[in-house]
Amino acid sequence: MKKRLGSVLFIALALGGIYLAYTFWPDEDLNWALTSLLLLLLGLGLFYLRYERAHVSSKEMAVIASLAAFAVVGRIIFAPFPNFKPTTYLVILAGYVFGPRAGFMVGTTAAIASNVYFGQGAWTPWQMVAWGLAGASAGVFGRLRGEKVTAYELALFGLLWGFLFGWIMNLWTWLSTVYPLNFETWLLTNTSSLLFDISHAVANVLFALLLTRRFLPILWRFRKKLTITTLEVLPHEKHN
Amino acid sequence: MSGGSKDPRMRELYGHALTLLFYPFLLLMVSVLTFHPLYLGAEWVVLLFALALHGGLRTYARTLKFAIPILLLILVINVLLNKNGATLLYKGPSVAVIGQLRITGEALAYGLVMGLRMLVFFGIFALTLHWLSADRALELSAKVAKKSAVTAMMTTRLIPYLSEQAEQIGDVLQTRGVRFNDGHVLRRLAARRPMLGVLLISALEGSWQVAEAMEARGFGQGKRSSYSRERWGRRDVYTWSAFLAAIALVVWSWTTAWTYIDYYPRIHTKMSEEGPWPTILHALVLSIALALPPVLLKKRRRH
Repeated sequence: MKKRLGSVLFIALALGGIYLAYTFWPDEDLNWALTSLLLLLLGLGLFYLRYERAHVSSKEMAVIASLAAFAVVGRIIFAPFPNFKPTTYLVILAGYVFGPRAGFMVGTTAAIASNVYFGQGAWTPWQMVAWGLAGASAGVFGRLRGEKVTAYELALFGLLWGFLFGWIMNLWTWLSTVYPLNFETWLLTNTSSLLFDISHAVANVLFALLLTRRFLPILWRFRKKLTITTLEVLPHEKHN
Repeated sequence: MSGGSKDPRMRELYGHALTLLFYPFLLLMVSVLTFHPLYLGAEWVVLLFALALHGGLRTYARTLKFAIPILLLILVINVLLNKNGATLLYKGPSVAVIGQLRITGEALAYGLVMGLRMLVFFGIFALTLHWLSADRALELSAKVAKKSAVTAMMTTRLIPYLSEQAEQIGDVLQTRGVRFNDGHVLRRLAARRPMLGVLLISALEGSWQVAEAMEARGFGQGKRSSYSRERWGRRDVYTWSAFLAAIALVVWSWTTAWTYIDYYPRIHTKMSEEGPWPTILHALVLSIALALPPVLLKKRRRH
């Protein structure tokens, strides 16, 4: 209860801060470079806080770590294909089966680990958010569609995330270095990465069509294994 | 701090990991707080000095390769799409999306200064990457986010193991006749599918063993014991004093508006009202406060 109260207070303080920022610096006077950076750190912090506060079993942690490592190694396996990496789609699959919390953690952890191995880039926090949200939104989608989902539906979801990923990565460049902030400047900022975004989306579709039918049953089976719980010994039984 | 540490950076640098992480964070905050070219320029010079002092210029040059297209993009978007400036440099025909071409001095200045801001961002990340290893950053995050840090540490540990397994699976598949590099792109992509499948099962089965090992070592039973090589030293106290001085100078500038600049319709700063010297002096003192930490944290080589 105390922990929940702490989280609620944290969110209330953050929302209060945002409200005050808008009150003092309305419209275009607001420093979007600073605001977006603080919102990004706040968003990541809240997701991590949720993970820290939750009762996460050792099995769940190990599965998240293994899936994140698997997503990164997928990038190495497909190294001969520039811009054709299965990482985003593997994060989506992990989130779809294991839920939003695990999906977010697989996405953010894959971003951190991937950057540890391939060199930390200036955009690591945005990469964390983009992959984290891909995993978390796939988790929400998974709760709605369950085991009935088809490869085509996940391909469409992957197609969408191919573009969303690029847009999230471009967001900070747009917010911190472009003026005025309107649809035209947003469009032109995203045009610069359009080819990468298209190849990312196409890769997600291809991997969805290639991998879903084989990988989903494996992941569902492990999810069932994960939900097996150990029984606690009741206090009066301890003395027998 | 151990002199015989495995992390080579720790042999060249003083300072607790938190000190080393806070410095780039402070620089980032300063760079997003102001749009003033004098402050952003001064910060860039400080960054170049810090990178040169700690041998990170090569890392910065590597990251700049990716920065050049972004810098050009920032300049082009600001110059072509912003029509709020008053000093007209060029007026041209109407173009789709952009509308009438109208290049102003203010938009050009804004584009160039924002390019400078991007150079500062890249410098900050190059410095972070150069002087704080991923291991130390993860160890530091383990103090506040235990489960998340353990998850990230397990992932980094599993990657070389899974890569090795992927290689072995690839060898086995090749001896069974799978050709990874034959045919068109789709065929080559599909050829790697069985490799991924086996690797997924292996990774998930392996995670069960990891979980069992964690339980066997008492994971989740009370407070996690940990050992840290990070030690607070005298240099940290001096460095944090410099940080506080820099923060005080930034806060002070809010009341005096020295860091303030308005680009549109005409460039307007505090310098035009009270002369350039108060702003220049403030920027200079701030630069000195920001340049002190890299000097304080540098270890001198013993001959």
